[in-house]
Amino acid sequence: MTPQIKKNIIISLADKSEIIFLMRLFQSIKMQNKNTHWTLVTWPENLDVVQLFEGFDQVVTVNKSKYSKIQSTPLFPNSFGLNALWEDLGDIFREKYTKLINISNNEISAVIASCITTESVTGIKFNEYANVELSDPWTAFTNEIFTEQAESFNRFDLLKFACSITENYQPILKNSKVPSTILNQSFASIRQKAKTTATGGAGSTGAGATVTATDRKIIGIDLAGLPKDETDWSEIIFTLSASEQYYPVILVQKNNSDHREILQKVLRTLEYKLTTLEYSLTSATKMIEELDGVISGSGVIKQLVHLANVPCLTLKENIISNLGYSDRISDLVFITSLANPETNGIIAALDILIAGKVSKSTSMPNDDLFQVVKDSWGSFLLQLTGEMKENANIRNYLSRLFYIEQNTSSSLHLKDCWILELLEANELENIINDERKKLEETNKSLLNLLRALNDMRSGVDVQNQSKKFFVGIDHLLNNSATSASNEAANSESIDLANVGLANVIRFLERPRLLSIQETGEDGLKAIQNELLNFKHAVNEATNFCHKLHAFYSRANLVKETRTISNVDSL
Amino acid sequence: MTNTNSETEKKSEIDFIIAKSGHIVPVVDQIYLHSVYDPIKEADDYAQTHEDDLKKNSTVLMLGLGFGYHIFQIINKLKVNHTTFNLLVLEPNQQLVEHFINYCSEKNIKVEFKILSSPIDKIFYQDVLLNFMLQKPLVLMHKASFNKDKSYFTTFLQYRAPKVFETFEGHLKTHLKDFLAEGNFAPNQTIQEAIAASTKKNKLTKADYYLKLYDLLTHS
Repeated sequence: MTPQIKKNIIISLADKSEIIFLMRLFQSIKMQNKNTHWTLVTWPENLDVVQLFEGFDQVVTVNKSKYSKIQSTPLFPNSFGLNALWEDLGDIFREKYTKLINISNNEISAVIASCITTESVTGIKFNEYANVELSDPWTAFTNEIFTEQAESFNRFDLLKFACSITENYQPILKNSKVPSTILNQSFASIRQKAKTTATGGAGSTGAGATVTATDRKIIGIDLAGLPKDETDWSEIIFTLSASEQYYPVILVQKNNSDHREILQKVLRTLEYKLTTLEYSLTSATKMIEELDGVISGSGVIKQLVHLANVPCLTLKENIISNLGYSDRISDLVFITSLANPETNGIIAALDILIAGKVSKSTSMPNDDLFQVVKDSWGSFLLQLTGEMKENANIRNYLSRLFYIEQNTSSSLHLKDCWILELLEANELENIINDERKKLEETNKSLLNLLRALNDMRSGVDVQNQSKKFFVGIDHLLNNSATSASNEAANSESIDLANVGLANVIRFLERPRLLSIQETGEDGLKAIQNELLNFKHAVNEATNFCHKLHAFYSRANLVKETRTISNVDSL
Repeated sequence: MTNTNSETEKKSEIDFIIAKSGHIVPVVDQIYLHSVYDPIKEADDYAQTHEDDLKKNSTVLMLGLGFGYHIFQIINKLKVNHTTFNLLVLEPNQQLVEHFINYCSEKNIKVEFKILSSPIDKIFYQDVLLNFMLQKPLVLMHKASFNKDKSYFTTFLQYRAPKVFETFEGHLKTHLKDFLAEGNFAPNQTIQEAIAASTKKNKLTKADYYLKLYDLLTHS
């Protein structure tokens, strides 16, 4: 008798870039759930992107415009609309699924999730009492925090955490579908062109450096990624053209009138010919793989760039952004005024990203003007010096590193996180120490609670111990962080501007005491288990801090040793 | 509705005369449906007057069959302007439709359009009409036929579907009907009323959420 195949379903009702973002996640989920039938629910307009990937056994679309068209035609009774909706979704409503992952954080997806019969749910849904059901820490975080504040840390990490998956970067695109021959040929000619213009054209205006073809990196400029009217494209393109290291290639979407308009405008101001590449979504990935780097803002191309693991310089007008998926070191964010971009900064940022020049002294053209900080998403920002909440950014960064390590179940290659080298000697150390203190405090409260619980179970002075226990719980959950820096650490109203590792642990891993149904001895045991789980998470975080601190000290020590050995050799 | 039913059910007197041009012209209840001199020329003029509209639209709803002369001319115009077209004819007189079909099959004339002749209260429950109307067709009327069955066509044009459950329940697909049965919706409720009422319910079923989903998709 053959075993019954498990059926799982994913709901993703968002735009195309969200689908591409989902695919990376999905591939990892699929690796861990082999021999499983997967269904995807999405909008019909995302179908072209979905078809680029393999893995889904069934794709169900929700054709919003069809139902509203029927509903808005007064001639027809509602039965037609209801039937049309049932034609699309009836099969999934009648099916029994093992696992449902609702990746979208919106009402429609939650209602669809409520109609589906399933054994387990990740993401939001409504229960039979019309309350939103939060099935895991991720949904708690997204619903209690995300909806109120745009700034938060990387959703990708949270989702990985929620789905308890390890990330895997194996190629997931259907390469057979991507036309390659034509693009390869044109790229050979582009490289040749870059070489000729570098030795005698616009690129040679530099300080007489001899530039070879391999030195000049081809940088794609994604016209779709930045605001059309507010960006000074000419300045960005001219800067790259005039540079000795980079050669700009304009990426134009096929049949996109906006892009053509931008090109015409740029051509009016620039006196030489531009290299442009027309792409469709199906050919975009192959094109991106051929590029040495891409300048983008957000959108589909940026997500594909991440997938292809090509270095991406993200230009941002504002620090607050909803697209914070840059969880790679191959992504660098440069904040500048798009209408008047800081051209030296763009070149410096590309140097950091592509040439790997990471130390402050060598990569920055002007130390007084620039600094690298991390935003709340954990992206690294090269920005004009100003009053930024740098410490808070580092705290967020620590949280992200920790959760990445937790989810990949392996140690991070800290030496590869070159960004760490950009931190001043004291700032990271101070913050790590501060986090360790907070974690220790939490640990102490937990140990007290566990002791009180043990006494309660053994029946010694039950009344006093239980009082002590509940005061302790209240202290732990509501106002425990009497930290040295006196930052907000209330677990219910976590302040994201200052969210740190200790606070995030307390928020995401806090004991779910309200969900305990048992009473008496069993109840106490369940509470003890919850507390032990929490303690385990706190210990893990403390260990992580130790490791990071040790690495950082060692990194500094290595530098010193080298200097000494050089002196010795003299 | 009784009017329309009785109108379609009553036996009309149909005679046929030969026009001076030699073409057959039906006379229904003493109303001549086409020109008694030259129906083809009349149809050609008719198509000519609607030429601009026919250039813009490839989907046409024709009110009144007559004996098809005007329709064939309209089709000629559509073929000139569009690679594909979709034409649906509404004709309440079933006897006339039968005569027309028989005549066409005898003479081997190709009929490239659909004819609907059901009573008004049934016609709107047909998928053919739903899919056709969703294409937002150009509505043209054949004046003589329109005058012949004025109340039928006027009712059609002014029709508004009832929105309460009991009226459309019979047309729901079987599985959907079973699924919605869990919700115990009152027969005199509309979808919106059912959703509003569900907020007062102690427990919601999947059927309640199905209606909520439909409401969100059609109104957001």
